[in-house]
Amino acid sequence: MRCIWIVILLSLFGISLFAQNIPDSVYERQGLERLMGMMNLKLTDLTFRDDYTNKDSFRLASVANLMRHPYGMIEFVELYKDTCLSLKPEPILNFVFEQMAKEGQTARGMMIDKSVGTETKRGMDLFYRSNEFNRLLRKVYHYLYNVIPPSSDSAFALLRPNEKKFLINQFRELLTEDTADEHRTPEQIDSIQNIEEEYTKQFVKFGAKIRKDFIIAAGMTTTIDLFREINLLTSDLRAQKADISRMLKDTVDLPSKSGIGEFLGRNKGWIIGGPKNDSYKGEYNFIIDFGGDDRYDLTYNPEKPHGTIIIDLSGNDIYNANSAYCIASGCMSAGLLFDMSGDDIYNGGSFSCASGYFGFGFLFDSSGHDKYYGDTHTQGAGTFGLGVLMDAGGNDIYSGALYAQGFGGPEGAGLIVDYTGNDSYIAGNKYKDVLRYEDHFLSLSQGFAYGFRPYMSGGIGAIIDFAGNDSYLSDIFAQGTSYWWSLGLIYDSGGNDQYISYQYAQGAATHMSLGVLLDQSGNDFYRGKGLMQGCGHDYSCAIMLDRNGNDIYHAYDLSQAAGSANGFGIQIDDRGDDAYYVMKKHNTQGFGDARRDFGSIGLFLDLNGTDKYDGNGGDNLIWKTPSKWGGGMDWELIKQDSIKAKGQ
Amino acid sequence: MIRNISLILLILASPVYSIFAVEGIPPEIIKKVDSLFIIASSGEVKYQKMVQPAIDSIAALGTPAVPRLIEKYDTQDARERLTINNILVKIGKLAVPYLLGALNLDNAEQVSRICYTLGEIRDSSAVSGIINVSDHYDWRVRSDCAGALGKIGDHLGDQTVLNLLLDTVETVRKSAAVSSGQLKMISSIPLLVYMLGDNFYGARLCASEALVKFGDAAVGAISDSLNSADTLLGNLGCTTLGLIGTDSAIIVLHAQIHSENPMRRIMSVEAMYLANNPLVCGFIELAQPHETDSTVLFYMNKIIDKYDSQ
Repeated sequence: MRCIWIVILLSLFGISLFAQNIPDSVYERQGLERLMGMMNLKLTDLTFRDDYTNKDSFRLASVANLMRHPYGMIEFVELYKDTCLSLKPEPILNFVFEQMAKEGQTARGMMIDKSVGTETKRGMDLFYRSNEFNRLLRKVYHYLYNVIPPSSDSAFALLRPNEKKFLINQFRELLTEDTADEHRTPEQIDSIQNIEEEYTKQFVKFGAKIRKDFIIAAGMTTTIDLFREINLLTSDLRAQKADISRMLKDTVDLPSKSGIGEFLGRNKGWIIGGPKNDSYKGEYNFIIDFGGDDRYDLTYNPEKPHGTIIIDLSGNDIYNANSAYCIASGCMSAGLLFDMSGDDIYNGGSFSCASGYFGFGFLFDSSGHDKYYGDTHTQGAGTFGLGVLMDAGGNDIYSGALYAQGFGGPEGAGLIVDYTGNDSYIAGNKYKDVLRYEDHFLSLSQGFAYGFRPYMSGGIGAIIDFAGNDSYLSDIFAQGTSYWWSLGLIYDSGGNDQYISYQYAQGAATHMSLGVLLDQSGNDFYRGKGLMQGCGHDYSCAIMLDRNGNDIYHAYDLSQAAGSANGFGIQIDDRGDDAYYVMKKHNTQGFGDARRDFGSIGLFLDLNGTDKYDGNGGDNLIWKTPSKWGGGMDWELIKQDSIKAKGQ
Repeated sequence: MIRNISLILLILASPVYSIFAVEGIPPEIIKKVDSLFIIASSGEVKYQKMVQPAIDSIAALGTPAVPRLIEKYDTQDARERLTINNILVKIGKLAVPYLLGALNLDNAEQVSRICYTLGEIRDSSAVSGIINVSDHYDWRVRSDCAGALGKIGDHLGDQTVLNLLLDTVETVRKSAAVSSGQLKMISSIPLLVYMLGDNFYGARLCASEALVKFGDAAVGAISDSLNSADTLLGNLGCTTLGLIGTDSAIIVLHAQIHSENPMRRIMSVEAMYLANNPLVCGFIELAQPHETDSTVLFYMNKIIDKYDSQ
C-alpha cells in the first residue's frame, strides 16, 4: 500500500516537473498547428517569396530569413531578450551587429586600428599622474584618434566626395518631414515626392559601396572597452580607492610656454570637469565630468565628422542638442555617452540620443528618472548604422516625433533596452499623416523598422523593456511594426502595461515586412483603431503575443489576427481571463482578406482562461470567419497544473 | 506556334502598333495626362474628392491618353499603379489594342500589369495576345496571364490555363486554379484535385474553391484522393466535399467520420456542418455515441444544434 502511495507521489512530482519544463512556445506552436490544421493550413504555409519585386542590395539576411519562416519571429524576440538580460553592452552589441549582416554578405568589416605597429601606440606625454585615470584617458585617446577615424575612412572609402556630401544633405531629406507639408497643394507634394524618389534612385546607385561595418565595429569596441574602464573607475571612486579632487589636482607642471607638445588630457576638443556644477558649450571630442548637476549645450558639424565621447559620473544633468547629430550620435562616425547616475534630461533634437546615421551612437544611463526628448531619428535609431540606448533604472520618459525609440532604417538597427521602472514611451504629435488623415500624426517609432519601397530594404527596430508598468503612446505606425523588408519588435517582460495607438501598431507589418509585440506578463491593456494587434498587410506577417495576465484588447476594425492583402496576422494569448472587444466583426478576430485572387491568413488563439468576447470569438469555441481565410480557437490547451507551475 | 507567329505579325502590321511604336505622344496629351494624373493618383485625404473627377477626365480623353498611361505603368508607386489600371479599365475595349501592342516591352513588371488590366477589361479580343506571353520568363507575367484568361472567360484560353496549372511557381498555379474555376474546365478537375496537396496554401485553397464550382462532377475525383498518403490533401478534400454539399458528397464524407485519424474526423464532421444538407443528421446521430475527441464532439454538437429545430 505504501508503495502505491510512493508511486502516486512520484507520478505527481513527475507531472509537475514535466509541466514546468514545457516552454510556452510549445503550447503556442501546438495550438497554432491545431488551428491551422482545421483550416487546411500548415505552419510551413507561413512563408513569403523574396521576388515579388526586384531585390535590392540592402536587404538584411536576418530579415530575409525570417520572411521565409515568419513564425520564427517569436524565437528571435526571445533570443534578443535573452541577449539583453545582463546589463552589459558587449553581448547586446555583438548580437545586433550579427543581425545587421546583409543577405549574401560573407565577411564582415572590422574596426581599423592605425596604431598597430606605429609610434603612437608606444606612449605620450601625461598631464595627470593618476594611473587609473590615465588608463581611461589613454583608451579614449586611442579610440578617438587611432580607431574611429580610420574605421570611418574605410566605411566611406569607396565613395566620391560628392557622394559623401549626399549622405548629410539629400539623404537626410529622405528621413525628415516638414510640418508645412500639411498645407501644400497636391502639385507641390507630388513635386517633393518626385525629388525624393530621385534622391533615392541616386543613392541606390552608390549606396552599396558604403561599408558601415567598419565604423559600427569601431564604435562597438570603443563602447565595450570604455564601459569596462568606466565601471572600474566608478568602483574605485565608490570604494574610495581613488579621490576625485586629488586625482584632478595631481598633475605635472607644464612649462609657461605650453603648446610645444600634446599632453594626454589637455587635447584639443577635450574637457575634464570636476565634481561641481559645470557648463559645456560647443563641439567636443571628449568630456569627462566627475559630478555635479551639469549643463551641456552641444553642437556637431557633419561636414567634419569626428568621434565624440562624453562620460558623466554623477549629478542631475541636462544635455541640450543645439544642432543635429549631438548627444550620443554617430554621423559618419561614432558618438558615445555614459551617464552613470542622476535624474537627467536629454533634449536631443534630431539624429540624437543613440542615433547611428551612417555611424554608431550609444547612450548608457545607469540610473535615475530620466527624460529623453527628441524630434527625428532619436532614442535608439539606426540608418546605415546602429543606435543603442541602454537605461538601467528609474521611471523614464521617452518622447520623440518620428523614427524614434528603437528605429531601424535601411541597413540599420535601433534599440532601447530599459531594465526597470515605470516608463512612458511617447511618439508622434508633430508631423501630420497627410496621406491618410487630417487629424492624426505619423509616429514611425517604438520598435519600428522602415525601408524605402521598393528601392531599399529596411532594418531592425526594437524596444526591450524588462520591468515596470509601462505606457506606450503613439499614433500611426508604432509598437512592433514595420514597413518594407524590415522587422519591428517590442518585448516587454513585466508589469501592467498599456499600449495605445491609432493605426498600424501593436504587432503590425506592412508591405513585405515583419512586426511583433511580445508581452510576457502583467494585466495589459491594448487599444487602437485598426490594422493592429496582429495584423499583416501585403505579404507581411505580424504577431501579437501576450503570455500572462488578464488582458483587455480594444480595436475598431482590421485587427486582432487579421491578414490583409495576402498578409498573415496572428494573435496569441496564453493565459489569463481576457477581454476582446472589436467594433467591426467582418474583418477582425481571425480574418483573411481576399486579394490578388486568393486569400490572406488570420489566426486567433487563446489558450487558457475564462475570456470574454465582443466579436467573432467566444470562450471555449472554435470558429472560422466568412473570409479568405481566417479563424480562431479559444481552447484550454494550457492546463491548470502548468499555470500553477508558472506561478500564476 | 504558327498561330503565335501569325498573331505577332498581325500586331506588327497593325496601324495601332505603328502609331504606338513610331510616332511620339503629342506633347499636349502628355501635359494634360500628367497634370490630371497628379490629382488622380493623389493619396492625401484632403484631396480625395478631386480624385475621381480627375480619373474621369483622363478616361474621357480616350485612346490618345492610353500610350502615356502605358508609359507610366512602370511606376514603383502602388497608388499610381492602381490609378492607371482604373483609368484604363474605364477607357475599356478601346484601350485593348494599345495594351496588346505593349506586351512585348522589356520591363516584365510593366507587362504583368498590362496583362492584369487586360483581364480587368474583359475583352475576348485580348485572349490571343495574352496567350502569347503565357510562357514569359517572369512568373509575375505568367501569373497575371492566367488570371486574365479566367476573368475574360473565353475558352480559347483553356489549354494555356491547363498548362499553367503545372507551373513551377506556386503563385502561377494559384492564378491558374482560380481561372480553371472561372472557366469551368472539366478537364482541369484531376489537376485541381492533385493541387489540393499543393505546398502553397493559395494554390491549395483556390483549387478547392474551383472544385466547389464543379459540384457533383468533382466528387468522384475527390473521393478517389481521400486516402492519399498526404493527409492534408484528404482533409482539404473533405472540406471541399462539404462545400459541394450534394448527397453524393455527403455519402463520401460519411466514411471519413469513422477515420482513425482524429483530425480527419474533425475535418469531415466540420465539412458536414458546412454542407447545409439535412442528410448529415442521421450519420452524426449514429457516430456521436462512439466519439471521444472533444473537438469532433464540438462540431457534432454544432450540427445537432443546427438541425435541432428541423
